[in-house]
Amino acid sequence: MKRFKGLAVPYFVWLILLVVVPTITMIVLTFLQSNGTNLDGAYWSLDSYRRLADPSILKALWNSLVIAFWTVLFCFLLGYPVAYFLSFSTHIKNKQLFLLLLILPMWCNSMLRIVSWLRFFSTDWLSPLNLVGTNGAVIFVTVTTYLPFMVFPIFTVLEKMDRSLIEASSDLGVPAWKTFLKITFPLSLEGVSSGVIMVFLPAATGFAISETIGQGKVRLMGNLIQAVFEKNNYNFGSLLSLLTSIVILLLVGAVAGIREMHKRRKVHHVNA
Amino acid sequence: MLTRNHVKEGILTTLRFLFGAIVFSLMYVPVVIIIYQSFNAGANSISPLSWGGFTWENYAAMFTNRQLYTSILDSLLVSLWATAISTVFGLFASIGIHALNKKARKAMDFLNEIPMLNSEIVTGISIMLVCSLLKPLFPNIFGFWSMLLAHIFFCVPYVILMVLPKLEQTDESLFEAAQDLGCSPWKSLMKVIIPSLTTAILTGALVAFTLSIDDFVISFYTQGNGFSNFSNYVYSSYTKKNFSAGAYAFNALLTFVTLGLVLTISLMSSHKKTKKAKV
Amino acid sequence: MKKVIISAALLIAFTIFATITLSTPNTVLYLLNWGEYIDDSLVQQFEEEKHCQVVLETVTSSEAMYQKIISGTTPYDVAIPGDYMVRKLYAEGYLRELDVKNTNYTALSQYDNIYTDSLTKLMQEYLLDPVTGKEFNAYFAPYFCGAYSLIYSTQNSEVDSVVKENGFRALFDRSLYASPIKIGMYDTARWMVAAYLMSQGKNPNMTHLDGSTDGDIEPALQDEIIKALKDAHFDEFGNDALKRNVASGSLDLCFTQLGDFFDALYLAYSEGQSNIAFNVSIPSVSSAFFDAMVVPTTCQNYELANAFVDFMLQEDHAFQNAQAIGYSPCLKSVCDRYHQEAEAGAYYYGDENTVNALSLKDFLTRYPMYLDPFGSVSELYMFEPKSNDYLTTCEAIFNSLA
Repeated sequence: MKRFKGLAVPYFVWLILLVVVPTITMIVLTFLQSNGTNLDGAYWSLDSYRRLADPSILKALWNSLVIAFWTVLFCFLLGYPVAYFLSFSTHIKNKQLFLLLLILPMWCNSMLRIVSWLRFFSTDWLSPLNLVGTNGAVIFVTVTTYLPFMVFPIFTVLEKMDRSLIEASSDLGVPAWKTFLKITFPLSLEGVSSGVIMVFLPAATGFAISETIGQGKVRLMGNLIQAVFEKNNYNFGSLLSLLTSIVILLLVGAVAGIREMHKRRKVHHVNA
Repeated sequence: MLTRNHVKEGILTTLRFLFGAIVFSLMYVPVVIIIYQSFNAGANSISPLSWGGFTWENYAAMFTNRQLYTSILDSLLVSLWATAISTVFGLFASIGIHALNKKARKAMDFLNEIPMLNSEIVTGISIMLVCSLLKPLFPNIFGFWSMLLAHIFFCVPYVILMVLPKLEQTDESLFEAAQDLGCSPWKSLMKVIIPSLTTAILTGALVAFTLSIDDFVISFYTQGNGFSNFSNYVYSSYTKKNFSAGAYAFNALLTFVTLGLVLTISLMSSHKKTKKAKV
Repeated sequence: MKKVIISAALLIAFTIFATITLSTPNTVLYLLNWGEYIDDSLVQQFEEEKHCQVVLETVTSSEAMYQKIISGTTPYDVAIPGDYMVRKLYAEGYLRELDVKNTNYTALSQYDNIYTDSLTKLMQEYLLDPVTGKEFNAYFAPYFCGAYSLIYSTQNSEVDSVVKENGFRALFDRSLYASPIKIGMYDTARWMVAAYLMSQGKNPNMTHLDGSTDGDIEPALQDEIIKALKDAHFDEFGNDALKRNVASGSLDLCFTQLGDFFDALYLAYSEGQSNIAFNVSIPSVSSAFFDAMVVPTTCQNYELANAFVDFMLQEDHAFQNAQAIGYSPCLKSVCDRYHQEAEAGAYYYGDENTVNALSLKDFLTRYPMYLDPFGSVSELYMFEPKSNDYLTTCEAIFNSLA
C-alpha cells in the first residue's frame, strides 16, 4: 500500500496553509500597530509587548490554569470511577447503551446547557447561595460540560486492557485494591492522560462558560482575547493568542512527555 | 462467611450505582431543564425557570421564528457538509499517512495534532485571519465558506484519529491478494481496504458531526454575511426578551429523537443477540 | 457504495431544501444593530413594502460594531453605532453620506430640523468633523438617546434616598447604606471607568489626574480606578440581565442606560405586575449618549439603505419603535405625538379592561425623563475616547478586577 503516499500530500499542504500562514500573520501583527487587519497607516511597534507587563494578563493566565486544573481534577475523580465501573461491571449487560447515555447530553447544544445552568443557579431556591459569578460555579459547569471527554478515553483503554493480568493477580491472592494500584491504574494512564488533555484544553481557553456563569467576575484568557479582538486590537490580541498557544503546548508537551517516559519504563520492565 | 461477602458485595454494588447515578444526573440536569423549558409558556420570564403553563407553542416557534430556524438550518448545513467532506478527506489522508515512511510519518502525526491541541479560540482567530487574507480574492468568503473551512479544519484530525489505528490493523495481504486476483491498486483500495474500515469511518463521521454541530467559539469568529449557527444564536440572544424558546424545543426534540434511536438500536441489537443465542 | 450514494443524494437534497428555505429575495439589507433595539414588526413591514429581506446581526458594544464594519466580514447596509463611534467611522472614511437631498425621502430630507432641541445641541457641541470643525449631520440619523442612570429596587427604602442624594457614588460607597445591598455593574469596561469618574463628579473622559482628556489613562489614575472598582465589591457584572435582576429583586441597584429601565418596566407590566418595585434615577452628573443610523461604505444597496433610514425616521414608525423599545425618542414629532396620545387617553400598558393598566398620562408624569433624559442633569458629558489604547486599557482595568 506504499504507493498511496501521494494521498498525504493534499492534507500536508492544507495543514501548512491553515496552521503556518495564520501563525506567521499573527507573529507579524504582534510587531505592528494596525487597525485590525487593515494595514493602511500601520507602523512597527513593540507596544503589544509592553502591554504584557500588565499584571492583569498574568493573572488571567494564572486564573485560567487554576480553573482548568480543578476542572481536570474533578473530571478525573468523577470520570475515572464511572469508566471503571462501566468497564468492569458484571451487572451491566448493555455497556454500549450506557456509553450512549453518556454521549446523549452532548447532543444538546452546549451553549444552551450553559444557559440552563445559569437559569438553574438563578432560581429562587438557589439564588441565596450566590453561585453565579463564582469560580466554583464556573468549575462546576465546566466539569459537567466536559466530563464525557474524560470518561471515554479511560473507558476505551480499560476495555482494551488484558484482563488475564488482573485475574492472575487476584489468583495470587493480591488484594483487589493493590491489584488496582499496581496493575489496572498504571495500565490505564494512557487513557487518563488523553482525558486530561481533552478536558484541560477547552477548560483553560474557553470563554463562553466564564462569561455566562462567571458574569464578568471570572475572567480567563479566552475572555481577554475575545475582548481585545472585539476592540479591534488585533496586534495585542494576536500576542495573547500566541502566548496562550505556547503555554498550552508546553503543558500538553509535559503531559505527553510524562506519558512517553512511562511507556518507555514499561517496555524496559518487560524487557528486563 | 459467604453471606458476609455477599452483603459487602451488595453494598459496594449499590454504592457504585449510586455514584454512577449522581454523575449521570449531573450531566442530565441541563437536559431536563431544556425539556422543561421547551414546554414552558413562561420560558423567558423575569424570574428564572418559573412555570408559566404548558404549551406546544415553543415547538411551533421552531418553524415560525426566522432567526431561530435560519440558525438551525445554517448549523445543519455547515455540519453535514463539514462531516461529509472531512470524512472523505480524513479517510484518504489516513491512507496517505499510513503509506509514509517512519520519519515523514512522525512529522505528519505531529502536524495532525496541532488542530486538536490548539485552543478553539486561537483556531477560530487563525481561520478568520486566513479568510481576511483571502477576502480580496473571494469577497463573500465570510459566512458559509469560512465556517465550512474552519469546521473541516478541526474535524479532519478526529476522523484520522479514528481511521488510522484501524488501518494499521488491516491485513496488507488482503490488499495484495486483491491485486493478485487482477484488481488495479485503486480498485483494491476501494473494494477491499475501505470497506474493511466502515466502522471506523462511521465513528469518525459521528465524532466530526457531534463536534461540528455543537461548535461555538470557532464559528463565533468565522460567521458573517448573515450566516451564523445555532450556538451563536443562543449566545447572542439568550439575555434578550425576544430569545425564542423554540431553541429549547429544538434541542429537546433532538434529545428525544436521539434517545429514541439509541433505544431502538440497542433493543434491536440485544434482540438479535438473544436470537443468535437461541440458535 | 450504494449507501454512500444514498447519503450523498440525501445531503444534496437537504442542501437544496435549506438553500430554498434560506434563500433571500434578490434584495437583502444587512442591518448591524444592538440586541432588542428594533421593533420586529416594523422590520417585517419594511420587508413587505420593499420586497426585500432584512438580515439582522446584533452586537453588545459600539467597538464590536466598528470591528465588524471594518473587518468586512459582512457588507452591512445600515449600522446603528453610538455617538463617538459615528465620529470615528466618519473620520476614518467608513461612512457614506445619506441621500438627504432626495425629496422622495420625506423624513430624511428634513434631517436638519427633526431632532429634539437638547439632542441637536449635543450634536452641534460634540459631533464635529475633526479636520474642518464643521458638523457632518448628513452622515447619520439619530435613532434613540438616553443618559447613564441607576436602576434600583424600591423594596429597600434606604436605597431610594441614597441613590437620589449621592448619584453614581451610590455604586461605590457601601458605607452610605445601613443594610447590606447587592450592586450590579455593567460589564462594558469603559462604562465602569466612566461610572467611577462621574461618581467623583469628574469628566468621564478624564485620562490624567490633572483633568486633561488626552491619550491613554495615566497609571496613577488607572490605579485609583482599579482600587475604587475593587473596593466596590460588585455583586454582579452583566449586561441585559442586570435590569431583570433588579426588577426581580435579586439586585438592589445597578448601573445601566435609561432605556434599559423602560424595557424592564414594560416587561414587568406585561407579566401582570401592578406594584412596580423598582425605579430609575439619572444623577446630576451624568453622560448622554445617542445611537445613530449610518450607511457604511460596505453598503451594497445604497437606495434600500436610505429607504430604511427614512422609513425609521417617519413619525408613525419612529413612534411605534419607541413604544416597543423603551429608549427615549430623538425626534421632535415623536415627543409631540406622545403628549397628544396622552391627552387623548391612550395607555402605556394595557387598556381599560386590563387589571394593571397604566395610562400614558400617568406614565409621562411618573417618568418625565423618558421624553427629556437630560432635563435633570446639571453637568452633562459625552463619551469621547481620544485614542485606541484607551479602550484596551479600560479592558485591562476590567480584567484586573477578577
